[in-house]
Amino acid sequence: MDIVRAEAYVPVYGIDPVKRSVRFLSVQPVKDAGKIYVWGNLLFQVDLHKGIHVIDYSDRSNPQKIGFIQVHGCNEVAVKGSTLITNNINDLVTIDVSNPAQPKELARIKNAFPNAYDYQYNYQPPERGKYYICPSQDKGDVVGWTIEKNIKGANCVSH
Amino acid sequence: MKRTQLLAFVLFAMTAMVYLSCDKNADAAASPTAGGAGGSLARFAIAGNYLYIVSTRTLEVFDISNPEMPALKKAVNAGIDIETIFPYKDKLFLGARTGMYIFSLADPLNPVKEGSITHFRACDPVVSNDSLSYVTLRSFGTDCGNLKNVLNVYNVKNIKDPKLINTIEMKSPYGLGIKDKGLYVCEGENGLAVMDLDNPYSPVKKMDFRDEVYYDVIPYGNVLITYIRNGVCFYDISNPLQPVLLSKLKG
Repeated sequence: MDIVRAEAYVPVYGIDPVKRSVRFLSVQPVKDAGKIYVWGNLLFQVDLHKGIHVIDYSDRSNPQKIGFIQVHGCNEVAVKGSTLITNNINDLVTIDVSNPAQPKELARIKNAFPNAYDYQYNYQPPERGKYYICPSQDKGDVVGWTIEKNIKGANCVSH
Repeated sequence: MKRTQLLAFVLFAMTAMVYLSCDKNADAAASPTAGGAGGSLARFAIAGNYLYIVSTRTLEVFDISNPEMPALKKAVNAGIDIETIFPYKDKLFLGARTGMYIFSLADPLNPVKEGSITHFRACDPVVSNDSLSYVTLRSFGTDCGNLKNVLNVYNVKNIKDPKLINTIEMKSPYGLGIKDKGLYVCEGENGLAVMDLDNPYSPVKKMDFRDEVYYDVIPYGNVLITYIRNGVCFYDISNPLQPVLLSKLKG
Protein backbone atom coordinates (compact mmCIF):
# COMPACT_ATOMS: atom_id res chain seq x y z
CA MET A 1 0.00 0.00 0.00
CA ASP A 2 1.37 3.33 -1.05
CA ILE A 3 1.32 6.02 1.56
CA VAL A 4 -0.52 9.18 0.51
CA ARG A 5 1.47 12.29 1.44
CA ALA A 6 -0.37 15.52 2.07
CA GLU A 7 2.28 17.33 0.07
CA ALA A 8 5.29 16.17 -1.97
CA TYR A 9 7.59 17.17 -4.77
CA VAL A 10 6.92 15.65 -8.19
CA PRO A 11 9.49 15.69 -11.01
CA VAL A 12 8.60 17.44 -14.25
CA TYR A 13 9.91 15.54 -17.25
CA GLY A 14 10.94 16.91 -20.59
CA ILE A 15 13.86 17.13 -22.95
CA ASP A 16 16.58 19.57 -22.02
CA PRO A 17 18.14 20.69 -25.33
CA VAL A 18 21.26 21.95 -23.57
CA LYS A 19 21.98 18.40 -22.50
CA ARG A 20 21.41 17.08 -26.02
CA SER A 21 24.50 18.67 -27.50
CA VAL A 22 28.04 17.46 -27.67
CA ARG A 23 30.81 19.93 -26.87
CA PHE A 24 34.52 19.69 -27.30
CA LEU A 25 36.67 20.85 -24.48
CA SER A 26 40.32 21.00 -23.64
CA VAL A 27 41.84 18.33 -21.39
CA GLN A 28 39.77 17.73 -18.24
CA PRO A 29 40.60 16.03 -14.95
CA VAL A 30 39.22 12.52 -14.43
CA LYS A 31 36.22 12.65 -12.11
CA ASP A 32 34.59 9.25 -12.36
CA ALA A 33 36.60 7.00 -14.68
CA GLY A 34 34.54 4.66 -16.85
CA LYS A 35 34.73 2.23 -19.72
CA ILE A 36 37.50 2.26 -22.32
CA TYR A 37 37.80 1.66 -26.06
CA VAL A 38 40.99 1.60 -28.10
CA TRP A 39 41.62 2.32 -31.76
CA GLY A 40 45.23 2.30 -32.88
CA ASN A 41 47.16 4.80 -30.80
CA LEU A 42 44.07 6.49 -29.44
CA LEU A 43 42.35 5.45 -26.25
CA PHE A 44 38.92 6.74 -25.25
CA GLN A 45 37.76 6.66 -21.65
CA VAL A 46 34.29 7.51 -20.44
CA ASP A 47 33.95 9.88 -17.53
CA LEU A 48 30.67 8.63 -16.18
CA HIS A 49 27.73 10.81 -17.27
CA LYS A 50 30.07 13.65 -18.23
CA GLY A 51 31.89 12.72 -21.42
CA ILE A 52 34.90 11.03 -22.94
CA HIS A 53 38.61 11.62 -22.43
CA VAL A 54 40.68 11.32 -25.62
CA ILE A 55 44.12 9.89 -24.91
CA ASP A 56 47.05 9.64 -27.33
CA TYR A 57 49.27 6.81 -26.15
CA SER A 58 51.54 6.53 -29.20
CA ASP A 59 54.35 6.96 -26.69
CA ARG A 60 53.50 3.99 -24.48
CA SER A 61 55.59 5.28 -21.61
CA ASN A 62 54.14 8.78 -21.75
CA PRO A 63 50.45 8.78 -22.72
CA GLN A 64 48.78 12.19 -22.97
CA LYS A 65 45.21 13.37 -22.72
CA ILE A 66 44.54 15.50 -25.79
CA GLY A 67 40.96 16.60 -25.23
CA PHE A 68 37.56 15.91 -23.77
CA ILE A 69 34.27 15.30 -25.53
CA GLN A 70 31.49 16.55 -23.25
CA VAL A 71 28.51 14.21 -23.54
CA HIS A 72 25.81 14.44 -20.87
CA GLY A 73 24.65 11.13 -19.44
CA CYS A 74 27.28 9.15 -21.27
CA ASN A 75 28.07 5.56 -20.20
CA GLU A 76 29.37 3.78 -23.29
CA VAL A 77 31.89 4.28 -26.06
CA ALA A 78 32.93 2.39 -29.19
CA VAL A 79 35.06 3.44 -32.16
CA LYS A 80 35.27 2.33 -35.77
CA GLY A 81 37.88 4.06 -37.88
CA SER A 82 37.37 7.77 -37.46
CA THR A 83 33.88 7.41 -35.99
CA LEU A 84 33.17 7.37 -32.29
CA ILE A 85 29.80 6.16 -31.05
CA THR A 86 28.37 6.95 -27.65
CA ASN A 87 25.15 7.63 -25.80
CA ASN A 88 24.14 11.20 -25.01
CA ILE A 89 21.68 10.29 -22.26
CA ASN A 90 19.09 8.41 -24.35
CA ASP A 91 20.35 9.44 -27.80
CA LEU A 92 22.85 7.50 -29.88
CA VAL A 93 25.40 9.88 -31.38
CA THR A 94 28.18 9.41 -33.90
CA ILE A 95 31.18 11.72 -33.75
CA ASP A 96 33.94 12.21 -36.29
CA VAL A 97 37.32 11.91 -34.55
CA SER A 98 39.51 11.93 -37.66
CA ASN A 99 41.08 14.99 -36.09
CA PRO A 100 40.88 13.79 -32.50
CA ALA A 101 41.67 17.24 -31.14
CA GLN A 102 38.63 18.68 -32.94
CA PRO A 103 35.86 16.11 -33.03
CA LYS A 104 32.51 16.91 -34.58
CA GLU A 105 29.03 15.47 -34.21
CA LEU A 106 27.85 13.60 -37.32
CA ALA A 107 24.47 12.14 -36.49
CA ARG A 108 22.03 11.47 -33.69
CA ILE A 109 19.30 8.89 -33.19
CA LYS A 110 16.89 10.27 -30.64
CA ASN A 111 15.65 8.07 -27.82
CA ALA A 112 17.64 5.04 -28.94
CA PHE A 113 17.99 4.06 -25.27
CA PRO A 114 14.67 4.61 -23.49
CA ASN A 115 16.05 3.51 -20.10
CA ALA A 116 19.12 5.71 -20.08
CA TYR A 117 18.17 8.08 -17.29
CA ASP A 118 19.92 6.12 -14.55
CA TYR A 119 22.03 9.11 -13.58
CA GLN A 120 18.92 11.00 -12.51
CA TYR A 121 18.50 8.83 -9.43
CA ASN A 122 20.46 11.42 -7.55
CA TYR A 123 18.37 14.36 -8.69
CA GLN A 124 16.54 15.96 -5.80
CA PRO A 125 14.09 18.79 -5.28
CA PRO A 126 15.51 22.18 -4.28
CA GLU A 127 14.36 21.93 -0.66
CA ARG A 128 15.86 19.61 1.97
CA GLY A 129 13.96 17.16 4.15
CA LYS A 130 10.98 16.85 1.80
CA TYR A 131 9.27 13.81 0.39
CA TYR A 132 9.45 13.45 -3.38
CA ILE A 133 8.80 10.97 -6.14
CA CYS A 134 12.12 9.41 -7.18
CA PRO A 135 12.95 10.32 -10.79
CA SER A 136 12.07 7.61 -13.29
CA GLN A 137 14.66 5.98 -15.55
CA ASP A 138 12.56 6.23 -18.66
CA LYS A 139 10.43 9.37 -18.68
CA GLY A 140 12.92 12.00 -19.81
CA ASP A 141 15.12 14.67 -18.28
CA VAL A 142 14.03 16.13 -14.96
CA VAL A 143 13.58 19.75 -16.02
CA GLY A 144 11.90 20.96 -12.84
CA TRP A 145 9.82 20.11 -9.77
CA THR A 146 6.29 20.91 -8.68
CA ILE A 147 4.76 20.64 -5.20
CA GLU A 148 1.53 18.69 -5.30
CA LYS A 149 -1.04 17.60 -2.76
CA ASN A 150 -2.26 14.09 -1.86
CA ILE A 151 0.57 12.34 -3.63
CA LYS A 152 1.14 8.58 -3.66
CA GLY A 153 4.56 6.96 -4.09
CA ALA A 154 6.63 9.90 -2.86
CA ASN A 155 8.98 7.62 -0.97
CA CYS A 156 12.25 9.51 -1.38
CA VAL A 157 13.40 12.16 1.07
CA SER A 158 15.67 15.00 -0.03
CA HIS A 159 18.85 15.61 1.96
CA MET B 1 38.38 -0.51 -47.54
CA LYS B 2 35.70 -2.77 -46.19
CA ARG B 3 37.82 -5.81 -46.82
CA THR B 4 40.88 -4.25 -45.17
CA GLN B 5 38.86 -3.47 -42.06
CA LEU B 6 37.43 -6.94 -41.93
CA LEU B 7 40.89 -8.45 -42.28
CA ALA B 8 42.15 -6.12 -39.60
CA PHE B 9 39.34 -7.16 -37.31
CA VAL B 10 40.04 -10.84 -37.88
CA LEU B 11 43.74 -10.28 -37.22
CA PHE B 12 42.94 -8.57 -33.98
CA ALA B 13 40.48 -11.24 -32.93
CA MET B 14 43.14 -13.87 -33.54
CA THR B 15 45.45 -12.29 -31.01
CA ALA B 16 42.83 -12.95 -28.39
CA MET B 17 42.85 -16.67 -29.04
CA VAL B 18 44.41 -18.92 -26.51
CA TYR B 19 45.95 -21.31 -28.97
CA LEU B 20 47.64 -18.75 -31.17
CA SER B 21 50.76 -16.99 -30.06
CA CYS B 22 52.12 -15.48 -33.24
CA ASP B 23 53.78 -12.17 -32.48
CA LYS B 24 53.31 -10.92 -36.04
CA ASN B 25 49.59 -10.91 -35.54
CA ALA B 26 50.00 -9.14 -32.26
CA ASP B 27 52.09 -6.41 -33.87
CA ALA B 28 49.53 -5.97 -36.60
CA ALA B 29 46.84 -5.49 -33.98
CA ALA B 30 48.84 -2.75 -32.32
CA SER B 31 49.16 -0.70 -35.50
CA PRO B 32 46.74 2.18 -35.95
CA THR B 33 44.97 0.59 -38.91
CA ALA B 34 44.27 -2.72 -37.27
CA GLY B 35 40.88 -2.12 -35.74
CA GLY B 36 39.52 -1.33 -32.35
CA ALA B 37 38.64 -3.12 -29.18
CA GLY B 38 36.57 -2.53 -26.10
CA GLY B 39 36.67 -3.92 -22.60
CA SER B 40 34.69 -6.85 -21.28
CA LEU B 41 32.28 -4.62 -19.34
CA ALA B 42 30.98 -2.96 -22.51
CA ARG B 43 27.39 -2.80 -23.66
CA PHE B 44 28.52 -1.69 -27.15
CA ALA B 45 30.32 -4.02 -29.56
CA ILE B 46 31.32 -3.47 -33.17
CA ALA B 47 31.61 -6.26 -35.73
CA GLY B 48 32.02 -5.38 -39.39
CA ASN B 49 29.65 -2.59 -40.31
CA TYR B 50 27.38 -3.17 -37.37
CA LEU B 51 27.13 -1.89 -33.85
CA TYR B 52 25.56 -4.32 -31.39
CA ILE B 53 24.11 -2.93 -28.20
CA VAL B 54 22.72 -4.80 -25.24
CA SER B 55 20.10 -3.25 -23.05
CA THR B 56 18.64 -5.13 -20.12
CA ARG B 57 16.56 -7.46 -22.26
CA THR B 58 17.34 -6.79 -25.89
CA LEU B 59 20.14 -7.03 -28.40
CA GLU B 60 19.99 -4.21 -30.95
CA VAL B 61 21.69 -4.02 -34.32
CA PHE B 62 22.67 -0.65 -35.80
CA ASP B 63 24.07 -0.28 -39.30
CA ILE B 64 27.02 2.11 -38.98
CA SER B 65 28.45 1.73 -42.49
CA ASN B 66 27.55 5.37 -43.04
CA PRO B 67 28.43 7.17 -39.78
CA GLU B 68 26.38 10.15 -40.90
CA MET B 69 23.30 7.97 -41.07
CA PRO B 70 23.38 5.24 -38.43
CA ALA B 71 20.21 3.18 -38.50
CA LEU B 72 18.54 0.77 -36.12
CA LYS B 73 18.02 -2.43 -38.10
CA LYS B 74 16.85 -4.96 -35.60
CA ALA B 75 15.97 -5.49 -31.95
CA VAL B 76 16.02 -9.06 -30.69
CA ASN B 77 14.67 -10.29 -27.37
CA ALA B 78 17.82 -11.64 -25.83
CA GLY B 79 17.23 -12.59 -22.22
CA ILE B 80 17.00 -10.89 -18.86
CA ASP B 81 19.33 -8.67 -16.85
CA ILE B 82 21.94 -8.52 -19.62
CA GLU B 83 24.99 -6.47 -18.68
CA THR B 84 27.83 -7.08 -21.17
CA ILE B 85 28.59 -8.04 -24.75
CA PHE B 86 31.80 -9.50 -26.15
CA PRO B 87 32.32 -9.99 -29.90
CA TYR B 88 34.50 -12.86 -31.07
CA LYS B 89 34.73 -13.80 -34.75
CA ASP B 90 31.18 -14.55 -35.91
CA LYS B 91 29.76 -14.78 -32.43
CA LEU B 92 28.53 -12.51 -29.66
CA PHE B 93 28.83 -13.54 -26.03
CA LEU B 94 26.35 -11.84 -23.74
CA GLY B 95 26.85 -11.75 -20.00
CA ALA B 96 23.71 -11.56 -17.90
CA ARG B 97 23.14 -11.72 -14.18
CA THR B 98 21.78 -15.22 -14.44
CA GLY B 99 23.73 -16.69 -17.31
CA MET B 100 25.59 -16.42 -20.59
CA TYR B 101 24.00 -16.25 -24.03
CA ILE B 102 25.78 -17.01 -27.30
CA PHE B 103 24.56 -15.46 -30.55
CA SER B 104 25.66 -16.40 -34.03
CA LEU B 105 26.43 -13.61 -36.50
CA ALA B 106 26.36 -15.87 -39.55
CA ASP B 107 23.89 -13.27 -40.78
CA PRO B 108 25.20 -10.08 -39.14
CA LEU B 109 21.82 -8.37 -39.47
CA ASN B 110 20.00 -11.19 -37.76
CA PRO B 111 21.82 -12.42 -34.67
CA VAL B 112 20.46 -15.77 -33.61
CA LYS B 113 20.64 -17.15 -30.10
CA GLU B 114 22.44 -20.47 -30.47
CA GLY B 115 23.14 -21.44 -26.92
CA SER B 116 22.94 -20.40 -23.31
CA ILE B 117 23.87 -21.59 -19.86
CA THR B 118 22.65 -20.39 -16.51
CA HIS B 119 24.65 -19.71 -13.39
CA PHE B 120 23.96 -18.35 -9.94
CA ARG B 121 22.94 -14.73 -9.79
CA ALA B 122 25.94 -12.37 -10.01
CA CYS B 123 27.52 -9.59 -12.05
CA ASP B 124 29.24 -11.28 -14.93
CA PRO B 125 31.38 -10.16 -17.87
CA VAL B 126 32.58 -12.79 -20.32
CA VAL B 127 35.47 -13.24 -22.75
CA SER B 128 35.88 -16.12 -25.14
CA ASN B 129 37.87 -17.89 -27.81
CA ASP B 130 37.00 -20.73 -30.19
CA SER B 131 36.50 -23.35 -27.57
CA LEU B 132 36.37 -21.78 -24.13
CA SER B 133 34.58 -18.92 -22.44
CA TYR B 134 35.81 -17.32 -19.24
CA VAL B 135 33.20 -15.64 -17.08
CA THR B 136 33.71 -13.79 -13.83
CA LEU B 137 30.89 -13.84 -11.33
CA ARG B 138 31.08 -11.17 -8.70
CA SER B 139 28.84 -10.76 -5.74
CA PHE B 140 31.23 -8.71 -3.62
CA GLY B 141 29.96 -5.17 -3.18
CA THR B 142 26.97 -5.59 -5.46
CA ASP B 143 23.27 -6.18 -5.40
CA CYS B 144 23.79 -8.82 -8.08
CA GLY B 145 23.32 -11.91 -5.98
CA ASN B 146 24.77 -14.15 -3.33
CA LEU B 147 28.17 -14.36 -1.69
CA LYS B 148 30.26 -16.15 -4.30
CA ASN B 149 33.10 -14.64 -6.33
CA VAL B 150 34.44 -16.97 -8.97
CA LEU B 151 35.92 -17.40 -12.44
CA ASN B 152 33.96 -19.97 -14.43
CA VAL B 153 35.35 -21.82 -17.45
CA TYR B 154 32.85 -23.05 -20.03
CA ASN B 155 33.44 -25.35 -22.97
CA VAL B 156 31.72 -23.64 -25.91
CA LYS B 157 33.00 -25.81 -28.75
CA ASN B 158 29.41 -26.79 -29.25
CA ILE B 159 27.79 -23.42 -28.77
CA LYS B 160 24.36 -24.97 -28.67
CA ASP B 161 25.33 -26.74 -25.48
CA PRO B 162 27.90 -24.87 -23.37
CA LYS B 163 29.26 -26.87 -20.45
CA LEU B 164 30.71 -25.65 -17.17
CA ILE B 165 34.08 -27.34 -16.76
CA ASN B 166 35.77 -25.47 -13.94
CA THR B 167 35.18 -22.92 -11.20
CA ILE B 168 38.02 -20.98 -9.59
CA GLU B 169 37.62 -18.91 -6.43
CA MET B 170 38.36 -15.20 -6.84
CA LYS B 171 38.11 -12.24 -4.47
CA SER B 172 36.05 -9.57 -6.25
CA PRO B 173 36.32 -10.13 -10.01
CA TYR B 174 35.27 -7.48 -12.57
CA GLY B 175 36.42 -7.34 -16.22
CA LEU B 176 38.82 -9.76 -17.84
CA GLY B 177 40.84 -10.33 -21.01
CA ILE B 178 42.97 -12.94 -22.80
CA LYS B 179 46.33 -12.73 -24.60
CA ASP B 180 47.77 -16.09 -25.64
CA LYS B 181 48.40 -17.94 -22.39
CA GLY B 182 47.71 -14.90 -20.23
CA LEU B 183 44.33 -14.35 -18.64
CA TYR B 184 43.95 -11.00 -16.86
CA VAL B 185 41.26 -10.69 -14.25
CA CYS B 186 40.52 -7.35 -12.62
CA GLU B 187 39.80 -7.78 -8.93
CA GLY B 188 38.73 -4.22 -8.08
CA GLU B 189 40.23 -3.26 -4.70
CA ASN B 190 42.13 -6.54 -4.82
CA GLY B 191 44.20 -5.55 -7.83
CA LEU B 192 44.87 -7.24 -11.16
CA ALA B 193 45.40 -11.01 -11.27
CA VAL B 194 47.58 -12.54 -14.00
CA MET B 195 46.58 -16.14 -14.65
CA ASP B 196 48.35 -18.83 -16.66
CA LEU B 197 46.28 -20.65 -19.28
CA ASP B 198 48.91 -23.29 -19.97
CA ASN B 199 46.09 -25.65 -19.16
CA PRO B 200 43.24 -23.54 -20.54
CA TYR B 201 40.66 -25.52 -18.57
CA SER B 202 42.36 -24.68 -15.34
CA PRO B 203 43.73 -21.12 -15.07
CA VAL B 204 46.36 -20.73 -12.35
CA LYS B 205 47.18 -17.40 -10.74
CA LYS B 206 50.81 -16.45 -11.38
CA MET B 207 51.10 -12.97 -9.97
CA ASP B 208 49.11 -9.88 -9.21
CA PHE B 209 49.39 -6.10 -9.11
CA ARG B 210 47.98 -4.49 -6.00
CA ASP B 211 48.91 -0.90 -6.77
CA GLU B 212 45.54 0.25 -8.11
CA VAL B 213 41.83 -0.53 -8.14
CA TYR B 214 41.37 -2.42 -11.42
CA TYR B 215 38.03 -2.70 -13.24
CA ASP B 216 38.65 -3.80 -16.82
CA VAL B 217 41.31 -4.64 -19.41
CA ILE B 218 41.85 -4.60 -23.15
CA PRO B 219 44.71 -6.79 -24.39
CA TYR B 220 45.66 -4.98 -27.62
CA GLY B 221 48.60 -6.47 -29.44
CA ASN B 222 51.50 -6.31 -27.03
CA VAL B 223 49.87 -3.71 -24.82
CA LEU B 224 47.50 -4.38 -21.96
CA ILE B 225 45.31 -1.36 -21.38
CA THR B 226 43.68 -1.30 -17.97
CA TYR B 227 40.84 0.81 -16.67
CA ILE B 228 41.52 1.73 -13.06
CA ARG B 229 39.55 3.76 -10.53
CA ASN B 230 40.88 7.15 -11.58
CA GLY B 231 42.27 6.59 -15.06
CA VAL B 232 44.25 4.03 -17.05
CA CYS B 233 47.49 2.02 -16.87
CA PHE B 234 49.47 0.51 -19.73
CA TYR B 235 51.45 -2.73 -19.49
CA ASP B 236 53.75 -4.40 -21.97
CA ILE B 237 52.59 -7.99 -22.44
CA SER B 238 55.15 -9.20 -24.99
CA ASN B 239 55.47 -11.94 -22.41
CA PRO B 240 51.81 -12.40 -21.53
CA LEU B 241 52.57 -13.94 -18.14
CA GLN B 242 54.98 -11.19 -17.11
CA PRO B 243 53.26 -7.84 -17.69
CA VAL B 244 55.63 -4.90 -17.33
CA LEU B 245 54.21 -1.54 -16.31
CA LEU B 246 54.75 1.07 -19.06
CA SER B 247 52.86 4.05 -17.67
CA LYS B 248 49.87 5.35 -15.76
CA LEU B 249 47.58 8.22 -16.58
CA LYS B 250 45.56 9.23 -13.55
CA GLY B 251 43.41 12.14 -12.43
